[in-house]
Amino acid sequence: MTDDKRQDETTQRDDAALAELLRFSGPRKPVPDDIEARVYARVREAWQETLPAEDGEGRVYHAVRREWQQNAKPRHRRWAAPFALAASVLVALALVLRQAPDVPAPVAVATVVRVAGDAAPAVDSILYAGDRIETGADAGITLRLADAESLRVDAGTTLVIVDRNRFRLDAGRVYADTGDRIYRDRGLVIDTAMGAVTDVGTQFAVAAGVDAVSIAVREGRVDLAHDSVDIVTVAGEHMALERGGVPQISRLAPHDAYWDWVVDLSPGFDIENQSLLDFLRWAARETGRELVFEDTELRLAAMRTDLHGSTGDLAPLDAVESVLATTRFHYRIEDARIVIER
Amino acid sequence: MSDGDTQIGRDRALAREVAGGDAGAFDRFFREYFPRLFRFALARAGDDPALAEEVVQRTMCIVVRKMHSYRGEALLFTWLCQICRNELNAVYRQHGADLRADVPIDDHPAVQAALESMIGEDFRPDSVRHREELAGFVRATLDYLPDNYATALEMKYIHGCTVAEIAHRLGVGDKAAESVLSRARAAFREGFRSLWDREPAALFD
Repeated sequence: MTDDKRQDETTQRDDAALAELLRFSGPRKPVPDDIEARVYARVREAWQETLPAEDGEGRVYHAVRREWQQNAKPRHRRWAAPFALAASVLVALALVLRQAPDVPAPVAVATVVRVAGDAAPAVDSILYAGDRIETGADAGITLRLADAESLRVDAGTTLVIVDRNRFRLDAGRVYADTGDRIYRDRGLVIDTAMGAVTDVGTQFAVAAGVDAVSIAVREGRVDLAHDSVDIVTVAGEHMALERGGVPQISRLAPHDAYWDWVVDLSPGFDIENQSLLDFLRWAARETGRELVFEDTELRLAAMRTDLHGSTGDLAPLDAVESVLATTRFHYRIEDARIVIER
Repeated sequence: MSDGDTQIGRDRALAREVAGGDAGAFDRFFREYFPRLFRFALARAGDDPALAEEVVQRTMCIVVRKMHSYRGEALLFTWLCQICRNELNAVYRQHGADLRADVPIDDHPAVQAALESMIGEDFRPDSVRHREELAGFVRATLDYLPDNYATALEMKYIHGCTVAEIAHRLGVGDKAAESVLSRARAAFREGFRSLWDREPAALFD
């Protein structure tokens, strides 16, 4: 008998023994769904209590801000929307590579994951420190940065990549989604002519021109360092500032139509092997809505449901419609919420 | 082999993400460890689901609060089990009772060491002969394996599923499913051999 044949026989015998052993022992006991749901809810609550409470600081900040706004002199001059500057200039999406000749070695910063309109850089192109991105009037581009952060560049924008976590917005508008993790090693910095914008784990948009800047925050908090003062914008606010002026603050809901351009540039979600819960979380985050389940058991069922296939380029809510059609879950939109039901 | 390739490395990364407030990581942590820990507790709580629920809830609440302090000295599951034992002791003390005398097989220090050694080290144990203990040991071995390994073994050998069905359940291709099965068999066999000092096949001679 050859060694190979002997090995095959040993493997088969071993396999049969393994089967017998496992059948003898029987399957592991499943955990009752109601117990799992109760424990999940309580453990999650305990976990959430360990996370830093932003609310306290936010409450103080809002109280101070209300006081300040009541006393501040209102300004009547509106600043020109900077992202309108480029609308008349550029038609095609253009990428001018590596403008800085003295960069010693190219530092890869971002990958192009979506292009809307005329597409100069193809999807999957790598962008480097020193690259300049210019988008035309009907174009837009979505980048994936390190740590899976997303940066979307609206039409009519000029953006220079300074470094891995630093960009310079010369004109136009960008949106950053730096994830929902509370702790990060570093923030994303967007330099504008009016100061540096730094995020604190958030989703936000910055529009900038030579003499004006505006910041809209969907989630978290963003600081603008301007004339030695930090101007803070928090979730649900839009802040506009002209040179020599004072910040003008207004409310802006995370699912307001203002954010539609951001949704149009959504990088999409690869559902293959992902849980339904993760997919729904993504859709909710993309659309600025809260994800709500009818009850904890339904949430756990979504967590246990694995997805396969692709949603292609569908917009987030269209993708939700399409994916849920293949499951026993249903949903409804209630203004600021996506409600998942049976 | 990088840190992320080992179970300890993956445990460290998961703990970091949970401690960092990542909701997705919390759900992965719960999905991976709750069923295993519940079965672990149930076996030690006289098959009383209410008691197991209470103990597991207390355990997991403690662990998520202490997650930032996890440094990977032991597997995350081992850490959970240790805290679970302490909590079970505390519950029994509160109720004025002693822990069950018939300690489950995987509470034996040698067995614990062998179960952990499935991911690498040699161990020569005391042997256990009782059939029920054998069944309990097999199920505990499955719980110590990565979840996809245990699922693949159960599907193939208990439920008689095809490789294609296993691949579908695991969300991988057929080739990858075969590879998972192969590694699962090797890991299971290794744990078994360490404890019983013989191959599974020898039991049926």
